[in-house]
Amino acid sequence: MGEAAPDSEATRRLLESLESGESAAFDELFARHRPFLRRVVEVRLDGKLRSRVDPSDIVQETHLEAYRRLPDYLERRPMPFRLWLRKTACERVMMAHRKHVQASRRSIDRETSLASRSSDQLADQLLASGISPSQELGKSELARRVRQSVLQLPELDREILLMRHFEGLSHREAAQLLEVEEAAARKRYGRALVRMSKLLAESGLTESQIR
Amino acid sequence: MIDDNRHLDPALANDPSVESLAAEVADEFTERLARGERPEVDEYVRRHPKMAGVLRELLPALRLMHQSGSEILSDSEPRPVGNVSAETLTGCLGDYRLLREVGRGGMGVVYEAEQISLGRRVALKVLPFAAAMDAKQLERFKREAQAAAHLHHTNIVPVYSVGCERGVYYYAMQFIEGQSLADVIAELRRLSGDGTGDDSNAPPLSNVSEAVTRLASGGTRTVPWLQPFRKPAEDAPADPAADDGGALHSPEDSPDADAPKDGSSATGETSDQASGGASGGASNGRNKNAVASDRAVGASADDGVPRTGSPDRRSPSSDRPVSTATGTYATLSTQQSLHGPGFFRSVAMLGVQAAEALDHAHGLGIVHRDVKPANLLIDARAHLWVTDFGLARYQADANLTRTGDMVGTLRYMSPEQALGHKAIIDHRADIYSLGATLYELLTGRPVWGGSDRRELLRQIAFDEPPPPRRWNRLIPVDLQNILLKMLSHEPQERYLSAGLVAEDLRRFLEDKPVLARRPSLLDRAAKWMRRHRAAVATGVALLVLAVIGLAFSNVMIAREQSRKEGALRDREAALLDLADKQRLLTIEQEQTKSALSAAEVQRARAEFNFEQARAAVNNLLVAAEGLAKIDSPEAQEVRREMLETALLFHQEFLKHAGDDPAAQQWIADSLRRLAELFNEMGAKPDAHVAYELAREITERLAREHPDDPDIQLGLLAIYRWLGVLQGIGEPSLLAQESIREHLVLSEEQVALVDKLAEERRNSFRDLLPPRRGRRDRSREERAAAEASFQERAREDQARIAEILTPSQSARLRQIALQLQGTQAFGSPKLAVELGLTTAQQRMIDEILETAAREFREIFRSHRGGDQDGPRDASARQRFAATRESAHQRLLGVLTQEQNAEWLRLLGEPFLGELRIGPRGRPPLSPRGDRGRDGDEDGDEGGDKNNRDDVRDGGADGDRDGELDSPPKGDASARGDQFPPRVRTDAERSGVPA
Repeated sequence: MGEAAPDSEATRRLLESLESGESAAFDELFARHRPFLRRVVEVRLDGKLRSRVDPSDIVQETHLEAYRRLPDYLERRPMPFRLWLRKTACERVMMAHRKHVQASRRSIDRETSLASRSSDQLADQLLASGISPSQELGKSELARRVRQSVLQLPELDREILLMRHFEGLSHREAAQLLEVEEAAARKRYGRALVRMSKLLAESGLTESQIR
Repeated sequence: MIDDNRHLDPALANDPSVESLAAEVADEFTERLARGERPEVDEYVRRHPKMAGVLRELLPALRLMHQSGSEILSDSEPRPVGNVSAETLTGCLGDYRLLREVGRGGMGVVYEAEQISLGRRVALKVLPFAAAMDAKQLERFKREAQAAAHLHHTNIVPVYSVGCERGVYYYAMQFIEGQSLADVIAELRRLSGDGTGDDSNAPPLSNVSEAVTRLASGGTRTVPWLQPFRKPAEDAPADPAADDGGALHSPEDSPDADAPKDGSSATGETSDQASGGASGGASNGRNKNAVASDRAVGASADDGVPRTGSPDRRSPSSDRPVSTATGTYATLSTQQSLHGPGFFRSVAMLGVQAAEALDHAHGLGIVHRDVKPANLLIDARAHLWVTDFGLARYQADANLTRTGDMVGTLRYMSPEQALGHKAIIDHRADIYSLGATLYELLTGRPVWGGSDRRELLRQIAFDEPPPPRRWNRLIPVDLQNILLKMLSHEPQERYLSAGLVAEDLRRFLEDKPVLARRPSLLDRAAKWMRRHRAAVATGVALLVLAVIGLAFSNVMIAREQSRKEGALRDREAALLDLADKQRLLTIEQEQTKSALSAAEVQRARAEFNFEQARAAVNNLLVAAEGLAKIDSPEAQEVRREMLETALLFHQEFLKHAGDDPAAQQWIADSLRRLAELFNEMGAKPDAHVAYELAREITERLAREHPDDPDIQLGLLAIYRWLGVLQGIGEPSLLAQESIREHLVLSEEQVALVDKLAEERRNSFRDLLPPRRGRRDRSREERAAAEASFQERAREDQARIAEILTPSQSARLRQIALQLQGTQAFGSPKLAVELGLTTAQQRMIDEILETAAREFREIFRSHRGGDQDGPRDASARQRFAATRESAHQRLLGVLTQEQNAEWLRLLGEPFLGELRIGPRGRPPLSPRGDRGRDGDEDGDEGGDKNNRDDVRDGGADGDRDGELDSPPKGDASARGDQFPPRVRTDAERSGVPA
């Protein structure tokens, strides 16, 4: 996926510029991570919420929030910038959940909310990552099964799969977030994969069937 | 920590080595995907066989997760392909700013976008399947996409650029303000309410008024382009919409006539009508100005043109009050206008445009491969645009979309595509798909109604498209014929090119006869048999036979009806009884029944069926000829069966032909051709039966029409062939009154000969096996029939020898030889008599063979219609020249003595008394000195050739006197003389020896 190692050379340089007072560098820095954040947000917004909240809006909120907290980060450097952004985004998602669970009495009109989405960040995210912007992969059956399997996984397994495959995190990053050793993260990942393959098999998916 | 093991195979779940290996493989796989590679699942399965099960499940899922990203998790329901998705791409893609999504399909998502650098509005198509292609495929895709982008045609959506921006492949095209034919078909279906019938997908009738209201209120842009539909044909037959705003003009309009319009159209948007007019039916004639102005309009369009909802002010109806548009819908909502001539013509006009676009692309070697309503766009001026050239293949290559949308595409797919004959897919696949598209537009129904993939495939493989007129009797027959020809199962039976489709559609629009013939019942039956060869049961031939009989009887009924109304009733009863048996062909029954209700219609129809029967038999024989080239016993068996089937058809024809001379003559001619085909494959008894049937008919005709040269010539050819078949053919000749006189037979002899002839007629009937089971005869039985036939022929000859005096016999032999012509050289008996050496025989065979080939060649190159032989002078000349050269070569082979012996065998020319020839004059002459002339073209061409035959035969007569010395000089030129110089009776009458 798009971004590779945590805090690439470019990110580090931009952070240095930031530290030396070039606040404009932040926009560039954030833009580099926007697609990644977008994915992080997307996989954490459940279907119902997505009909009301645009992931782009949350990314936007994350942008503002991160900017607000930036001095704190630069001072402490508790984790790589990218993971820090991710953490901020996850917080925003949780807040959105809370807010909308409270507001769930309001009717949700999926149709209109779909049509009214306005942000342009999705495009950036998709395009930057090289992911096809289309839903039209035509593999709706496979997609359905993958989705089902992912959702059926125990939460820890799911989380690590999300990190690896949707957020594009490395084992090291995942380990850092899970607060375990890298080897342990890798092991968990392998277990999740095997479980997932089992679930896929149960839902009848094989390579030959899509051919 | 994790105790939810419900779904896990214990063995796998507890095996740490499997888990760590899975992680390892997944890491590598994912990394390669991220690098843009296309790792193969199989590769990993091979590397880790122990993990095969896990990897086969896992890796495709990981790939999909990589490709589709988080979207895959976003839905709780499977997303229907082609519907609005939860995501809309916005923002910028390279030089393009995406404005809105305008459509989705299996091929990608289309956005309306602005090209920032040029400030023009474009349609941007994002191609998701590119993401799943490997590097080689991508390379090929780019190459061919660029080729397709270079297509410049007024009916092809111009592609501005093909690009890849950060991994997303896209096409930027001219933005077409309009809708796809798929939308149009849906609208029309709603409007007409006609599609309800057995089409469960069609909306109920009650929706119609609602749809009309919605449309009239500006809900779509259907209004302007539909208006030409209202233009009745009678207003302007060749140019039905000439005075309409978005007029489509007739193809004869010269480019010059367009030029001023185009010039004006370049000056501003409001003159779109003019360029619309120019772009309509005659994009060929449209000059580059028009294209340029078109694009200029497109380029400047983004500033004020409403995107949805409001009426398009660039539409041709700009000068028309809106109420007209409303009125249009009111009218359209009635069955009449949707099924009226204007509508049919509009369909044809759209077809012309699409066909021309395809033809242009085909000319450059680009096959669309996915012509379907969704890929044909119609703008506000009824101008049609073909889009998505050459993309289909990549979609298939990428191995996506095998599910949902496949069925939608399959519906329009040619059999060769749908059934996976990839190797032979060419431009004719597009012709088929266009046919399927126009069919649906015309009838409101898809050609194939199957609702799932399997049923569709079955229909495509085995069914014939229902004729459009089944759904709407008002659809013109010609238009139906064109569509059905486009929809032929076999590519070679479709039009040769899309250009020819356009031409034929134009002929239809101009009320000229179209080239497409309606596939006849026999055509369809023959096709059916071809497709179901393994399953063809004896019953099928009978069924087909009866159907042909039906077609034939229609002719006869009609003819009789014009003479005597009363006779109809009986025939009708018989006919309906017959028709009742044809469950397979219910439509024909209906047509027959309804035809019976109106005398004039019936007559027209019946004539039509007669033509069909002719064409059908012709097709059968052509098919049999084709099989002759295949050197396999199976093919020869099938060929023989086809010929036998054809023979049965003819016997059936005879029953229905009554006393119509034209029908009888045709049957006789066709029988002769059939006989020759039998003879060629060595089926002598069958050939004999066919010839005898032909002789019977022709002799009767000759009695009734003694002055008709065609009949006399036909008889002559039959005698000649019967002579060859029977050795020397005396029995047939003795049936001729003139021969009897010539030989001065006594009354007693005449009686004996008649008795023999009667017996022979019966005996050849015995040779004709019972109809049922004929095709089941084994080789042994056939051989037995052959033997018994030869036995009888020998018997006949012996009997004749008893009846006649020796001198009569000798003279009869001479006459027979004269009639046989040079063909006699092929008989072993003559070879012995002339004392031909083996070397000579070989040379003679070679000469005859060469001549035969040349005759065939000449015939083929001049073959005009079905049964027509070479009629034009140049063909006759070539025939004569070929004949002459064969003749000279043959004589050259013979020694002096042999030549003399040959002349002695021929004896005095028998000329006057047969009275066979034009206007009763006797052009007939001994032809022993000639090549296999007349017989050869007779073989190939049926009746007409015989005219040439005898014309030349007459010229031969001139040359009889020259036989002693080799013919010289310009014999071939003289062979062309017509009418031939006629000698006096004294000169020519032969005297019995």
